[in-house]
Amino acid sequence: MGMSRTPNASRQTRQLLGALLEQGRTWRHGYALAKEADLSSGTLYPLLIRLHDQGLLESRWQESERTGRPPRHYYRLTAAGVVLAREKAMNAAVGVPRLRKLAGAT
Amino acid sequence: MSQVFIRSLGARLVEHAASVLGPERRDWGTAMAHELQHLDSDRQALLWALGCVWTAYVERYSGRALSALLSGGVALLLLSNMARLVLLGFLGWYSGFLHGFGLSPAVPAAAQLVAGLLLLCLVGIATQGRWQTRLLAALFFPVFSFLTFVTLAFCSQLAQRSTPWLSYRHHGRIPALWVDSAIAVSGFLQGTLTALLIVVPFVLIYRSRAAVIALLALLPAVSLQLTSVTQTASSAHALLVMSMGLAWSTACAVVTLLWCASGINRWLPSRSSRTSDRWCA
Repeated sequence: MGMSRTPNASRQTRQLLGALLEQGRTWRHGYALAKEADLSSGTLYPLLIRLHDQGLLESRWQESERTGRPPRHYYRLTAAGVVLAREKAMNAAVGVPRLRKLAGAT
Repeated sequence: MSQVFIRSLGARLVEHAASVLGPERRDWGTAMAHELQHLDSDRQALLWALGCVWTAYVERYSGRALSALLSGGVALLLLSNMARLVLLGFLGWYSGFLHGFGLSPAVPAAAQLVAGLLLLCLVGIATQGRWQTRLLAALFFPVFSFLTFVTLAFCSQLAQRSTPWLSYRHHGRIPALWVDSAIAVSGFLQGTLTALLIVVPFVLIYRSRAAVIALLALLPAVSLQLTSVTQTASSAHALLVMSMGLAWSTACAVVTLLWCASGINRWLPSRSSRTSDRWCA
C-alpha cells in the first residue's frame, strides 16, 4: 500500500535523542543512555542501530577505566543528528501550546 | 539462582544474540556483550541480556515474520468476518429472516454477497505487500470467499434448503449438544488464534502502550466467540445479535489495520531502517 511511517517520530526515539542531545557531543555508553532515556536494552539497541545506519549517530570503542573489564562501545550524535535532535526538541516544545490551543477550541 | 549461573546465562544469551545478528552486525553484538560485563547488578545484567536477544531477533527477522504475522492476522480476521457475513446473508435468506423487509428474498443476500466480495477486494489490495501482483491480491480473498459460499450453498441444497448445522440440529442426525459445542469451540479457537496472531507481535514489539492495541485486537476475538454461540440458533433475534457482533468485529479489524498501516501510530517506537520500510507494506 506504500504506507511509509514518519522516521524517528516515536516517543522512544525522541527520548533517546533528548538524552544524547543533553550531553552535547560527549561520548556515552549504552547503559548510561538506557538509564537517561528510560529505555530497556531491547528498545535502545534497535534505535541506536537505526540512528547509526541513518548517519545520525557515531560510535567508537573506548578502553574501560575499570581494570579487567572489556572496552565499551560509546555513542554520540553526529552534526546531522544534533540538528535532528534539536528539531525534535523544538517541535515538542511548540507542540504543547498548539495542543492546548486545540483543546481550548473544542 | 546463583550469581554465577545468572552471569553465565546472561553471557550465553548475549552470545546467542550476537550470532543471530550475523556478521554484518558483528560490532553491535560485541558491544552488547561488553556492555553486559560492565553491569554490576545480576538482575540488570539478565534483563539487559534478554533485551539484547530481543533486539537481535527484531533486527534479523521482524521485517518478515512479525510483519507477516501482523498483517496476516488482520487479513485473516477480515477474511473470516467477510466469509461469515456472506454466510449470514445466506442463512438469513433461507431462514426467512429477511422476508419481512418486503424485498425479494434473494436480493438482500445477493447484495450482501456483492458487498462482501468488494470489501474482500479492498482487503486484498490493502495487504498486497504479501502478493506478487495487485490483481492477484485483489482477487484472492473474493475468490476464496465465493468458493466458500458456493460450497455452502451446495451443501445446503443437499440438506433440503437448510443450512447444514440447522439441518443436523433440527433433524436430530447428530445430537444438538454436539453441534452446538462443536460450533462454539471452533468459534472460540478461531477467535483466539486470530487475536493471538494480531496481539502477540504487537505486545512483543511495542511493550509500551501495547495494552491499548491488544485490547483493540482482542475485541473482535471476544465478539467472534459470542457470535459463535449464537450461530446455533435459528431465531431472528440470534441473527440480529450475530449481525451486530460481526459488524463490530469487522469495524475493530479495520481500525486495527488502518492503525497499523497509517501514520496514526507515530507514537509507537520506530524500528530499524532495515525493516521499517517493509512494515505493513
